[in-house]
Amino acid sequence: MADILVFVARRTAGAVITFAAACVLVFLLLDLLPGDPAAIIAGDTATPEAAAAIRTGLGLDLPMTERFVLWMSGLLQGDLGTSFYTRTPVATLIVQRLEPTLLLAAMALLWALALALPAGMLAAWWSEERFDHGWMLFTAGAYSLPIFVAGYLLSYLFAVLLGWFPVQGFRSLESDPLAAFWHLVLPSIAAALPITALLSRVTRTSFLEVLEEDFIRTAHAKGAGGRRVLVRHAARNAAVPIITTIGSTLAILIEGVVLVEIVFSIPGIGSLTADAIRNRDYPIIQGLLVVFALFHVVMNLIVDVSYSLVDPRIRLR
Amino acid sequence: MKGGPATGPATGPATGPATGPATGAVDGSAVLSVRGLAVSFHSARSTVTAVDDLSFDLRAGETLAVVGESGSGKTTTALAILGLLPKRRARVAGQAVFDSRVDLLSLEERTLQRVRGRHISMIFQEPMTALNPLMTIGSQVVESIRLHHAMSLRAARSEALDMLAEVGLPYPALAFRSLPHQLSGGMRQRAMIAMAIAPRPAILFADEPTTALDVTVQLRILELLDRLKSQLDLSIVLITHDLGIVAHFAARAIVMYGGRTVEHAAAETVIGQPSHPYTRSLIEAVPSAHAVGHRQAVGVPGRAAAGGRSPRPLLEVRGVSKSYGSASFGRRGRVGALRDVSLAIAAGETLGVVGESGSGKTTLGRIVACLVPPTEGDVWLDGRQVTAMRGRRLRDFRRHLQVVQQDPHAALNPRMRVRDIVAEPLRNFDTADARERTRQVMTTLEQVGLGPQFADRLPGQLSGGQKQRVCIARAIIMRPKLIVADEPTSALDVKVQAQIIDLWHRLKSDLGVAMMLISHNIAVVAALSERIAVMHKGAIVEIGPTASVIGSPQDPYTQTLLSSVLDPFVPRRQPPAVPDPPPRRWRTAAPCPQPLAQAAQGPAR
Repeated sequence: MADILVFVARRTAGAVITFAAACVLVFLLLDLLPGDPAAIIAGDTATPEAAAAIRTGLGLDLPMTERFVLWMSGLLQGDLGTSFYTRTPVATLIVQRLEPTLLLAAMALLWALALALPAGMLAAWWSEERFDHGWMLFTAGAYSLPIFVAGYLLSYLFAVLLGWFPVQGFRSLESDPLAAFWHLVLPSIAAALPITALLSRVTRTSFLEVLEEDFIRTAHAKGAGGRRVLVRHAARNAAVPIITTIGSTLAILIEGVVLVEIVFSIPGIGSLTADAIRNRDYPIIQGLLVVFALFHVVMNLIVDVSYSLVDPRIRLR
Repeated sequence: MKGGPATGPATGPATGPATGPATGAVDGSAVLSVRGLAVSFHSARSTVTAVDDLSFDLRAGETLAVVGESGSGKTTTALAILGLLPKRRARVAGQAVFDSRVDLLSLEERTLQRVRGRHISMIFQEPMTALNPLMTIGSQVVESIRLHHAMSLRAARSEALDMLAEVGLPYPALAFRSLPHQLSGGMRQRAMIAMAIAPRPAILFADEPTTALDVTVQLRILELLDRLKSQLDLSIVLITHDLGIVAHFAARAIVMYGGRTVEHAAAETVIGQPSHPYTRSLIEAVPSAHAVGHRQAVGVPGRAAAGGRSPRPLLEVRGVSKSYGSASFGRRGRVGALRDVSLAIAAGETLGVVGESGSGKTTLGRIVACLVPPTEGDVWLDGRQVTAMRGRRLRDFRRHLQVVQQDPHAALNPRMRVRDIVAEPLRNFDTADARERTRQVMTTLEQVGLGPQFADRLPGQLSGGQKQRVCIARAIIMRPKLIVADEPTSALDVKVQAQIIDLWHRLKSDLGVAMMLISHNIAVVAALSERIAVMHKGAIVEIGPTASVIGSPQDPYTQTLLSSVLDPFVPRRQPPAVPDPPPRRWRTAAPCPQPLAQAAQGPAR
């Protein structure tokens, strides 16, 4: 048991360093980009003096090092700065928009896991048979269809034509849980499509590889039945690459969620991101990037730890 | 056609289980009777026949050897009888009647599952990959018991623990809780055997069970199988390429070639008076360590032997040590691979380095080849200290020093043609123009016995032996002073091995190149070397002329090693009974094994 605590501690330390490096990059990246937010806020007709006044007001005239220190020390206290436009703290803005996005992402991930893992496993077991061919065709389609096309298609079919689901919008979990779920069905399916395709392909490949291993032949030679071989002997050995992929599909998931929120008019992080970029509202963009970075680092930490649970050789190495 | 058994049904004692020692009493009834077994593999493009009209009887309590080279169909035979071949591609015909009752080949998969493991078990060549890497040894044995016997988990656990002790695993309670990678190769194969015999089967198929193991471990595993056979009333089908194993552990043998039976007789007949030319060629190809005395007298280049020590040897290794491990763990974390090794090789001489896995022989080869630096000591070649060379000088010096590796399949770039592979050293050292290069490549290919038609082939179009010839051509084209060859024949079939040994013999006298020949196979080393160094645990325990090391070994370890070699024509010497050493961690971390019952209940809840 001690070895796993040491492993978790080591990985956590690594994650903290990664996150800190990401924060520095986030600050530098936006500072090096072209485009003057003060000029945009002031508008096309403003005089240079007006723009300069706005710049001073926002603290953009300070030297970079000074702004960096200010920004980082704020970050450490949970202060992500203030929006250039609305003058609301960025942290508040993000927290307000977090619920729809988290619900949407969680639901999409749930669909993907529930569908991709069993289907990929069965496609491997019946490889080159009808189910395998059919499923692989589906995944090729699901992966190549752009998410906004899939979103509008789903919305047109199941909301506009059939009227089974709401066309767009969002209800909070607090006000009406059932309606919240109902509004999220189509968006979450749209966001789940590409990661379902990717995950079930990886699952299939991973199982195909493991099913060729000597110890699978040993299991058959012991007299174990098909289901036992698949579940008891193959599954755990196939899990490591699958878990790794789950970690990396999260990037695709986030990207999908941003697009889906715009298609279905969901007031989440995605639409906040889109607005902030359009307005060059640097503090919000920086705050969002920091949150995304944190999300990724934490998810990768979870992935690392969980595959060390599946395969003890990883932490004993 | 030599289809059926060459000897008629034996008329041994009709009743009672076989209880005699080793090759003891065998009763006449056949526990497995195979008739006209044929296996072919179908793909969209072709049909390949792997086994053709094979018939044999396995008698109760006997060990039947199935002998052949790779691709002869011996493993396919076992897998076909157990129904383990891929259903979609393999066509199996014929009969395999178990216990005079059921034809296994006509059984449904469901019914067959109750036979597999329960009545007929199988163990495989490589226990590392044949065991599930994520299940503890104990749970794999428990599984094989509970698949076939209605037994409580607790009862199965204590039964499994008994099995682990029975197969001679040291600290069975610790092994029970270990994962396969925590055990040594020999221990893994013991665990595999425990798993296979735990449900008390009547027949055990052993597919090259010791090929991946060191010779001393091999002998102990074979002796274990022999003991279990009489204790548990087992009949064993021993699939092997090794005629030494056949001679010492089998009662009868089938020799297979290209899917057909070419010989089927008592083991001593197959070895002593083989009737088929293929069997004879196979037996002639076996290198013999014990017969080396005669060969030595004939073909030794004068320089090394006659004048005693030449004034300055070609290669000198002085006090070389090597330890691996990260510095951050201090000295305790470091693992010693070599300890104070010194040796010399004269120009034109071949020094054989033998040892088991982990003896440090490969590390020594890598240091001599300047591929890794030693931790201490230095290496001198041709009067220059190579271990002090760096960068351009070292690279330039490499023309005098070439390497041949074990696995020719992995040592050749699959996308390069033979002519480019062999010409590469010439390009590296920029010694010739294009026309001269082609000329040299062709001459060198001819020297290794490959005609000009091979020049434009890709490695994938060559057999294993031809690939190794290409590797050798690449090593000799620069006319190096020293070649380091690490297990140059270990990946090859025995007949191909014999051809490669012949080739080395010829090249030695033609080119006068010195060689450091590293191998676990004492017979191969003895066939080629003027002197032999025996390595054990990172040190040289004995070094001397081949005839004296083989003929009158002084060091106890050399004696153990030699007595473990199974020569088909030499009676087995009784080696000292040594248990498999437990892994290093166990020796330090686990002073006393837990009480058996406590471990059997697993971790506390």
